[in-house]
Amino acid sequence: MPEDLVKILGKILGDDRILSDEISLATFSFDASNVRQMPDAVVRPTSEEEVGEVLQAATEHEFFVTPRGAATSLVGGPIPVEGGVVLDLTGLDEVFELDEEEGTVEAGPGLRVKELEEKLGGDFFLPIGLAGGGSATIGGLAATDAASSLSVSYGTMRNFVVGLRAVTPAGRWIDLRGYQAGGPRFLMDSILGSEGTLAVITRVTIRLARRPQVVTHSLDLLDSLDALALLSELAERGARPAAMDVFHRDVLEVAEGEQEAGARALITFTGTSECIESNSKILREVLEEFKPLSHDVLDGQLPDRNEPIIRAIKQAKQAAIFVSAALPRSTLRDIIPEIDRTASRYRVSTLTVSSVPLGWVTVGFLFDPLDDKLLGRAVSASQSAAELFAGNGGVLGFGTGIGRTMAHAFAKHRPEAAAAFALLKKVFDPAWILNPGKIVPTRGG
Amino acid sequence: MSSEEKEPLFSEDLTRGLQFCLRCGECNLHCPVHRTLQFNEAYSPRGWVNLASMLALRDIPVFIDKIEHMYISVLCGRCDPPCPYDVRPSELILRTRKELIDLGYVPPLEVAALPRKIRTNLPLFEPAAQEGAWSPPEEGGSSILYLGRWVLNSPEAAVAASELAMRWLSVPSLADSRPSCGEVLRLAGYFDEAREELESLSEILRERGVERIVTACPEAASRLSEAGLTAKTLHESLSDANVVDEKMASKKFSRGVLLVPDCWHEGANEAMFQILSEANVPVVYSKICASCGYLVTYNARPDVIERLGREIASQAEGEGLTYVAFVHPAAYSAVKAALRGAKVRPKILDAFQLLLQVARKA
Ligand SMILES: Cc1cc2nc3c(=O)[nH]c(=O)nc-3n(C[C@H](O)[C@H](O)[C@H](O)COP(=O)(O)OP(=O)(O)OC[C@H]3O[C@@H](n4cnc5c(N)ncnc54)[C@H](O)[C@@H]3O)c2cc1C
Ligand code: SF4
Repeated sequence: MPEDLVKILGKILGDDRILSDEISLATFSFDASNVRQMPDAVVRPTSEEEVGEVLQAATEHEFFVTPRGAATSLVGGPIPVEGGVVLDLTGLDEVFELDEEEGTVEAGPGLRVKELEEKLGGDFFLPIGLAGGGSATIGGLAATDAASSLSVSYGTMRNFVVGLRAVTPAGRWIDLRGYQAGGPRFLMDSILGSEGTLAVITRVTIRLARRPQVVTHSLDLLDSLDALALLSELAERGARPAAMDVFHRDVLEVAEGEQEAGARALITFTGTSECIESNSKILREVLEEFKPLSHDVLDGQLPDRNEPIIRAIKQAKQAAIFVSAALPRSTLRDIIPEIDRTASRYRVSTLTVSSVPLGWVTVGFLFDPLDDKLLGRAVSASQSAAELFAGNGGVLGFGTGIGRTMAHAFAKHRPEAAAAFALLKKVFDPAWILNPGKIVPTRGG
Repeated sequence: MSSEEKEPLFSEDLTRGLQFCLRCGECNLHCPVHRTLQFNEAYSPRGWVNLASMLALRDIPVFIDKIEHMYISVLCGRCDPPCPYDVRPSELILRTRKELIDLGYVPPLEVAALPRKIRTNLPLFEPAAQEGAWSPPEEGGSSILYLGRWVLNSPEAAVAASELAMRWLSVPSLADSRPSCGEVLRLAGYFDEAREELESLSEILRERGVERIVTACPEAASRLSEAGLTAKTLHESLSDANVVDEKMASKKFSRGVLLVPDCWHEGANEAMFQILSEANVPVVYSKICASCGYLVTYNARPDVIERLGREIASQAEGEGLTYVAFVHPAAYSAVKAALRGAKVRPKILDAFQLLLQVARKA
């Protein structure tokens, strides 16, 4: 680590909170994507004030700072791609306020989702925490505006954040606790989902949802495109699924072997028993026409968008690079076959899951981690898919963040949005020191 | 040069296993060391596995700091079941230790000294008790108590175990634990030496006509059973023998006990919990484990053990309990040593010493 950096940081944090040995740098160089870069140093603040001081020093002395939660990002979000300092926020996990009646928590950003749910007991749940597992932090979820299958009915993470405190790179504090709606809520909304590029979230207030009654129907269909028609038909007859995930043929074949089914749809209804029953009745009527290959009713089970993918990865004994976007629903019919063509062009296998009502498609491109050539092809295929999504009006990075891996495609296909981002970034982070290389690849976009 | 062109440092099987950690972080949530060290990624299953993976691909050079780092995991295995991809991080860490040794890298000095210590019957770990100062009094017949090298490292636990085995099971102790069951060596990464030890021990026991072995160390029971001998832990043997008589049960033990389980030996935990409950001892399990015998695998740094010990003690104190009793006698001796000189209110002992106290009171 540059010696002056040690001196600067040493004035803010105790020695045991500044890590610069090779083991620490190596273990803070990865997340769940295949982006890797060692930082020059890692800092582990234990108070909000220390976070502010580190940022202020970074702006003053011009070194990069990359905020990090639990590093479960699939897109290289917490990787210090330009070097500099990793700001490990897991030490800020204090619970400041807990309202067990309302299901509200005010806590540090480092609190892990599993602990959040444990603290609030069985009545409440975070409809976002389901997919990402329990290890992600609430700060990470807020910074990426995380999503799950249930986002169809519950919205994304921003819907559960009812207050936050953040600090900008210039050391300015933004305290938006209590602004659940209206007024400066728009400010909070610009920080949520900004992937740690505008400000560091140092406190979050979250209101959890009450655990609903739930029924999930599992249907094996001949083709994933049937799911689109099924959803339209359901909508037409007034049924509104709380979630609808479709696991495409590639997932089923890898996870379960070759089979007649070309897709599995999980359709979830939540609400009162009457509401669930009336929705389920409509579904049964629709299915008389659609004639699925099989139909199981999973009582009380919330959908898990990850489980079949995990099973497939385990079966394939391969790793995957993920690309994720919310696409206009009207484009799905054309884009889904195009993903297959992209995969064949690069000779890679895929795992595809879509949440149809959201138009949210996630594709994993499989590779053998010990085969550099296959890895190269998987990277190219994923870039190509990112461009395909961005070029078709997709919201790139829905449910994962744009991070590093989709930054090029975003800047290329959404130049106006990228320019708007740069404008905002200039206000929050004029020295451009916070999480560089994310959302847009370079300062110039 | 790409990693494909470089020859991996480790065997293909291990290198491949390490690459299949997809870095989702689920395991970290369950790691007691990670938690104790304030969620520092460097001390986490994901951290260890990926550091090993970087060594395997020669992305970073092997130096003593990295080798030592591999010995900080207590190998409690809590990270294995939650991994969605069945990566089994604790096994990968152990295999990394082994392959580093096979490649000729020298492990931390205390670890490197283990094979010799085992062969020559020297105390295993510092600060260890004076092993030769106490010798089990009896020679075995067809049933014997095998104390184990870890337990012998703590004479007070060994004495208590021997006394309990004799008093309640009429089983005398084997005079020494040489050869050992090999587990100490296996966890250090000395797989071949471990196998040889276990084979020699099994042979000796068979030659002596031993038909039933009771072990003070939970791990020894597993190893000896694997070797085809009839072995059971002292904990379970006492529970099976219904040792709590009416007199013991009628006398309420007024002091509360925090029982620290051994993560790998549920049978021993349950047996101890049951005996204590039957003896009318107010007992609760500790919230954190990391108390398994592997805590003492020399490798866990004293400061790590000390922090774990303090956490356990503070739970006991918070719940108004007088004793902290470890199911694994070796975990007891490690924590006791790490907390030496520290001001800790609850009395720290192993489950055998506690049981002896309870019996004496009755
Ligand atoms: C198996 C698996 C499944 C997943 N499924 C989903 C899913 O269904 N939906 C979904 O949305 N995501 C999913 N993810 C991605 C990931 O879990 C989420 O992006 C999560 O929100 C990241 O949280 P984290 O604490 O790990 O943050 P990190 O990965 O550490 O960071 C993520 C981003 O947030 C920034 N950041 C972190 N903390 C702060 C803070 N306090 N202030 C400012 N910026 C901050 C970082 O700089 C980075 O850009 C999945 C990941 C895996 C491995
Ligand atoms: S070992 Fe398993 S649980 Fe742990 S990070 Fe790797 S894949 Fe996830």
